[in-house]
Amino acid sequence: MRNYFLILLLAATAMSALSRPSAAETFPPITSQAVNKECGDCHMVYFAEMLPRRSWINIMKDLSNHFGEDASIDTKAKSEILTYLVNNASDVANNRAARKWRQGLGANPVTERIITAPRFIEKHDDSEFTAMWKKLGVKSKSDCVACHKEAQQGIFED
Amino acid sequence: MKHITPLIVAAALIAGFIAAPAAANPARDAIVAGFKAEAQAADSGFAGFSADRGRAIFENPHTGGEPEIPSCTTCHGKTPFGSGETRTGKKIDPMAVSKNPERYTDPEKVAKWFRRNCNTVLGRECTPQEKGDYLTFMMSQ
Ligand code: HEC
Ligand code: HEC
Ligand code: HEC
Repeated sequence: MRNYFLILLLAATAMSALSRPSAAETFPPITSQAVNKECGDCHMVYFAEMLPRRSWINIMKDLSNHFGEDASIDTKAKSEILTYLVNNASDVANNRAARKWRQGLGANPVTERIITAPRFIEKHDDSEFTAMWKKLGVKSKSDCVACHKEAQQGIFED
Repeated sequence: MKHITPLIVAAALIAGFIAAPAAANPARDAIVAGFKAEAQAADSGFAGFSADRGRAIFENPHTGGEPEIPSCTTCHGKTPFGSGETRTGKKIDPMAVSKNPERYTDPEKVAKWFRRNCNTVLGRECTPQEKGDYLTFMMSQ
């Protein structure tokens, strides 16, 4: 009986994995506790692989003026977060997501925005995006979760 | 019977906890007491906290901070009983203690967000008087 249940469970898992479009872009889980604790209260916790090293350094320089808001944190958490973000940045990490997000960056001036990164623009510059934006009444392009329900789990389907 | 008595006592205790007003939380009371001590030290004429002044801090538009974010209600919603939304569209749970008994029970969290949000909205830190007024208002809601 136990085995039978196990097989069912395995089958269900396999099926749900299959039903996900193979085109889905995935990110490895964020392993820094400090990042998960401090960077997810105002928006989803963004993945380090979405921005290059120089952008994270810039963002972490002055959290007391973070896109118009004070997001300041204590020094210990700050250095832990910077280390994690830099070590997993798009031009440092060597996984599939990072390779995609570093394409086309070139020597561009620093962008602090994921929504101005080449990969984001390429994927959100069409009528499908505009239609979804209007239909769901999304407040900000940075609200990935509004359109990608499993974004925080690292799954972006198109 | 012997074994049942402690159970009844425990049940009564638990019921008591649940029935107790949300404001009676030792951690939260300690946070308010801390602001009271600071307010007294800053002003010998300190005459207690006021829920009405706290309401004004929460509801009124302020100047001095980020012009696009004039009020606590910009993110926390019009009333303490409803949920709010950050500027990126993330939901924020209600701020009233009656709606959300876990509010204002972690001193580090409270200090961090007063620092951040007062800076963003008012362009300065809030005074101990203002923080105590705000908490007194939210505990009455
Ligand atoms: C107090 C709220 C708050 C906290 C805490 C916060 N952020 Fe932000 N963050 C914002 C706001 C507001 C924006 C602008 C988003 C928008 O336009 O919708 C933003 C935008 C960003 C962006 C750019 C997203 C885009 O538009 O492409 C990045 C990257 C970012 N934050 C990283 C972080 C990191 C890393 C942390 C933790 C150290 C953090 N944030 C903590 C409020 C916050
Ligand atoms: C208004 C809705 C909307 C928002 C907000 C949004 N996206 Fe998308 N996203 C889409 C749509 C629609 C597509 C499919 C576009 C296509 O393939 O032509 C897409 C595609 C993608 C893809 C490619 C997926 C694939 O398998 O090729 C990635 C990665 C992605 N988005 C990341 C993000 C990130 C990161 C954010 C937040 C910073 C975000 N999106 C915010 C609607 C949105
Ligand atoms: C830019 C958006 C924004 C504004 C404006 C804002 N807050 Fe907040 N506030 C947040 C977020 C996000 C949190 C953390 C999420 C949570 O606790 O649910 C928070 C949390 C708090 C907390 C901690 C609550 C707890 O449970 O301990 C306090 C206190 C607070 N805010 C007070 C204020 C006051 C006072 C103002 C106005 C001067 C204000 N906030 C304005 C976004 C905002």
